[in-house]
Amino acid sequence: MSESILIRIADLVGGPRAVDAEDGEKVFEKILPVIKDGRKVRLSFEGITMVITAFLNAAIGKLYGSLPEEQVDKMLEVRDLISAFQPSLDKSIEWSKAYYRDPDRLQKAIMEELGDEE
Amino acid sequence: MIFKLSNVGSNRDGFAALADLSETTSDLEYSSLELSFASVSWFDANMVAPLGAVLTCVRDRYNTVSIVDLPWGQLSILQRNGFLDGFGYPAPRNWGGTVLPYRRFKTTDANRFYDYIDEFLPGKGLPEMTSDFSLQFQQSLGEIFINSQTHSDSTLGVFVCGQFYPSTQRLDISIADAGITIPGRVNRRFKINAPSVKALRWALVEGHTTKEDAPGGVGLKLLKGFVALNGGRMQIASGRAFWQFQKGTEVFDDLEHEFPGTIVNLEIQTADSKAYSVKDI
Repeated sequence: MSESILIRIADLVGGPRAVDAEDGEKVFEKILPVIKDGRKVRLSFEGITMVITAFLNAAIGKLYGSLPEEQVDKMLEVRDLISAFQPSLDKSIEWSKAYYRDPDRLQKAIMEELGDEE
Repeated sequence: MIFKLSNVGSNRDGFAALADLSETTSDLEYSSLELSFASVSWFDANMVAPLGAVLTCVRDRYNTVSIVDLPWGQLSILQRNGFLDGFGYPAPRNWGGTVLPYRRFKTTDANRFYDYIDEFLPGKGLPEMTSDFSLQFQQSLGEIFINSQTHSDSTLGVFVCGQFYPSTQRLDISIADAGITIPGRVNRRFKINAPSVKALRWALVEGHTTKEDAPGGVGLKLLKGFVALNGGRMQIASGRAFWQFQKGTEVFDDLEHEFPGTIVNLEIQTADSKAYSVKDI
């Protein structure tokens, strides 16, 4: 098994807040090739004092659109996240998995609900 | 053009008054607008956020905008939160202890928004919160800010203002944008033609989103749970749709006029001795 790679979010976003989706993209771009290369990633939130869902969607959720679910779950370890933000991470992962399993789900749902409205 | 504004409180009539201003001036180009406060006996200070969004749209069409006939009371309120700086009035010497000043942010300024929250939210009467709950509360405010970026595509920015009203023991925070409305975004994204209120109702369900690949409805859940316990309320006006959540009850309604973007109002009761933790919501 290859050695796991530590990626520190604070180093990539340049501050204590992970609140920008573009910063999330940077993190995604760092993680993706490492996992594709067969290495595990330890993604550290050490020093991060605020996190919002848009960042998590871009940094982590998008991985589920590029790699098999099982591979992301197995190869990505999130650590040092302040416990207050764990529900947002859980929600982001849950939603991203559901979305990438069936990207047209929302379109179908809204057509059923509102498609005939005028 | 002269437009006589009526009273603007943090309520449906206040949103309707600002939507009326927007709709009445929507064809004004290369001209001037005199916004008269002669008939205004009450203007909630936080509502300068949506007023700022409307007037920025008016200016964006190459119009000059002046604010006239300000009674002393309104002048004092709007000067103290910095709103009148852009209209030729002198800047305030200090904000005072009750003001979250008027600010216009770029939609990409989430970090600056959090700087603002860190600087101005403390001391404004928020109920006691555990550290985790306080972080989730601030996170939710940021989610609302980011939602403005996500759904509006606004090039004119996000407008924020807040006011602590010690006499009525409430704190009101308004976040407004002047972009594509939530109903407009829903209809465009899914290529449907749903009525405004139905589209807004759909968009406020947790997990519903107009983004291609991201969950929506975030931020609202915790804030709704909080105001339900606190006795406060939340309101959203977007396009012609209005939503209010108060005392556990949701009300949707049509507005007579179209607001050119989205306003989110959060009202918190400050006479609340409860201490909030994440287990409460």
